[in-house]
Amino acid sequence: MIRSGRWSRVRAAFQIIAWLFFVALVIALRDPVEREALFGIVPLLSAHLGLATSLAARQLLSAFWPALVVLALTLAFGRFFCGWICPMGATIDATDHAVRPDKINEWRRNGRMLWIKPVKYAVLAVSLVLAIAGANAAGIIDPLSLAFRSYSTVLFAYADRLAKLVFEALAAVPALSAVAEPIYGLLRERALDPNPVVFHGHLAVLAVFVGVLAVSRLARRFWCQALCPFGAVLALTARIGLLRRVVDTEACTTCRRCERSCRMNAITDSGRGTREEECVKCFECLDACRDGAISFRFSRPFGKAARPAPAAGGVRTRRQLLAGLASSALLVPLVKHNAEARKDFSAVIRPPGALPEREFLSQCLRCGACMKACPTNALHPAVMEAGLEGLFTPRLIPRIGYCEYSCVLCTRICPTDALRPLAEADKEREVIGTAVIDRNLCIPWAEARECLVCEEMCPVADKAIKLRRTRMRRNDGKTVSVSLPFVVEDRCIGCGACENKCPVSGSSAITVRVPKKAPASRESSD
Amino acid sequence: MKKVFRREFIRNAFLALGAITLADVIAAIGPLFAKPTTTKRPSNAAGAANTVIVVKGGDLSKATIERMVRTGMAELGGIQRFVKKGMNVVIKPNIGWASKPERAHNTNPHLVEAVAAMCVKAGARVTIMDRPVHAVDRCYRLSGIQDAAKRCGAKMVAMDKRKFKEVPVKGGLSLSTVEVYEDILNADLVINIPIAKHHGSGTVTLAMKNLMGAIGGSRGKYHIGNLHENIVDFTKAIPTGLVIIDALRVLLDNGPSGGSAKDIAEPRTILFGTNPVTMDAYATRFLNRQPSSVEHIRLAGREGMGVIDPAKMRIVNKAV
Repeated sequence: MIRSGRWSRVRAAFQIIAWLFFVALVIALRDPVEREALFGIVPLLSAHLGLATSLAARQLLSAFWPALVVLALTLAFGRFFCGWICPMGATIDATDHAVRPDKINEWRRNGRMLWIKPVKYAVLAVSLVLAIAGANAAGIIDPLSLAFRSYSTVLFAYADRLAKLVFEALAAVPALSAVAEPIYGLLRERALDPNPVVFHGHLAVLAVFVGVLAVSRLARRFWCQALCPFGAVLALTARIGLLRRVVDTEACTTCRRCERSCRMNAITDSGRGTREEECVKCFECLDACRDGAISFRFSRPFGKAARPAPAAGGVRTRRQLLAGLASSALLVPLVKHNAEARKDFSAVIRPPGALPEREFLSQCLRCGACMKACPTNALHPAVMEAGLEGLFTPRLIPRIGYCEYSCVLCTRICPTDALRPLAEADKEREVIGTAVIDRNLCIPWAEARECLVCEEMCPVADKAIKLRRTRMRRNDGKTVSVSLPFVVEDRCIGCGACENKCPVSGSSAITVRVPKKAPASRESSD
Repeated sequence: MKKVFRREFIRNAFLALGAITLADVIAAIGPLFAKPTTTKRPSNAAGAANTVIVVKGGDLSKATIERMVRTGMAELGGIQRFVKKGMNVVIKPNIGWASKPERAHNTNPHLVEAVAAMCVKAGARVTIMDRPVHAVDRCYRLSGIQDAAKRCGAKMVAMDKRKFKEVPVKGGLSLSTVEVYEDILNADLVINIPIAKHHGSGTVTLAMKNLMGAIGGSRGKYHIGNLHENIVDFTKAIPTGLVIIDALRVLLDNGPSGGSAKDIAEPRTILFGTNPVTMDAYATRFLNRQPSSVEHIRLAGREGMGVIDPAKMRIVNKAV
């Protein structure tokens, strides 16, 4: 039985520790050599992702076993995950003071915000219906996927850049450099990326992230109360959870202090009732109560005394759900209306080990782990380049970063094996694209001057770029002997080292496009 | 939430603007206060510059490589000839590629470790660095050199882009100035330890070409047009006190970043000397080349930067 107000501080401390662990995971997810599985764990905690992804992939993904653990714990402790562990929840708690006007409290208290609560079930329904139709949009809105992606490709990248700028400015001041330089050195060694990190499409990721935080303007934890699809799964489970809030009606003076303190608007009946499916077990009502009337105890969820308060919205829940199902069915053709999609290959260059495009799209969680793990900053969240279906899926942009020849980190990190784990020897043969030379830009071809950086960079054992010595007439009329580069297409693996290092300014004179012919290993099943 | 009034807003905006401007001003005037960098040229006087010590080993084991280094350095007059207590030594291997030692793209980690350990033992502060082509942390890790440095007490640093200094190239063939890494300019001794390797556009990459990794600016641009002239100019601009060439495993084709086992020969040899041009000229034989067939070596010879005719070198052969 939990009575003491101290538990609210235990909860707050635990939430901070869990958040720090999450941040440490994000920072450490860079050239990891051990404990690869640990890095992918965050999105695997989400039953929503597990359910939607399994539906979309038409197979039960056993990788999601941690989600079952979370669900089991939810049966015992209710929706504690949202208040104790969820990194998105922690972020919302930490930022809602900045976006929420105080007067909203009044508005919320008089119950006008109740209608929002069932919306999350509709969001869940949309997500699942889309998944059944084969379009996995769960990763875009799931809080764990969203948090991992946003911290990796937005917050970390921004912090990394900011720290570098600030410390480099400080170090330029003689008086400060003695202090700043050692700190900078330590940061560079431990936390910052040794290379510049910038993610193409970061603004789109940021927009979703900020949107989730900004809705807190309407109510505390608005996202968690009203929109979160994983929250919806947990809420449905928590209705029969064992740890329940019990109010001693003798002692309760219906002062409604607990109601005001509740971040989830989970308290009804002037403080005496509880929407168990909303209670995140933050225990702040214990702190708020001056009459010692509240306790949390394990009790039978189906017992008469512990009868759950009717779900907020009542009939409307069902209506919302049906409306959600109907409208999401309408969304299917929209998402699938995808000019970029071809059945054999994506419009974008996928990371090594990627499943055939259709299967890849249904199995990828959009969590961004591969992007953060990539040591060359080659992987970026797609915005519209892979179609609406491909939003936030990884794409290789060789001009920003090449795919390192023997590196298999992204394939080892991927939580669902949407990128198949590759052995180094197989990775070196994995074809992800084909390089093409633009002879109008290429220095030897267009200007008859020696260059050949692309040939130098090609990591393939027998070089997929070959040189041919040719006599050429230059523009000034002189005839000179120049080595011209050619791509040997059936040797090229599309790593993009050539495109990345091509010394032509702006766009490269050699570019990697999707493979000219799909290699056998990646032929689509349909 | 507090209401923000116009006046307050304007004040805040100016404060923010002021802070940004201040940061810019600091960044702009900071370098004015920085210590002027002085270029110390380590003396090359000790020993004849045309000496090449050739040490052949029985295998590629760490122990053998250590013995080869001891033998070679003893033949060159001992490490004490180059390293005094308290000296600041920079070792510049080729760590340009995120590849394992077996691919023979980077200098052998055992060789780097043996040389670094010797310098540390002689009382020097040793720093190992390169400006790699691939991501620096990956190169340092995969090459095995990061672990090697850790074992022998040398410091391994990733180059800091702020620390390249423009220096003049006296009598440059194609360049009048070049940006060189500050720590390399300021070192009491620079030890250049390249790996002998085939190179598509440079034909070979040895000690002279290895200096590309001490240079700032756009490396790609240096490869266009005047690559060989540029390499000669780097050699003129960067003082090297000791040159050790790794010909333990030699990539004969598809270099500097490709190749497979069939392209790799195993001469199991390390060369020791002081003049990068002479050393490179000698080392061409491991790549089945004549010194004068490599344009930058031929140019350096013409410029009088070192003996490139093997007949005029003092060659000492040793076996371990």
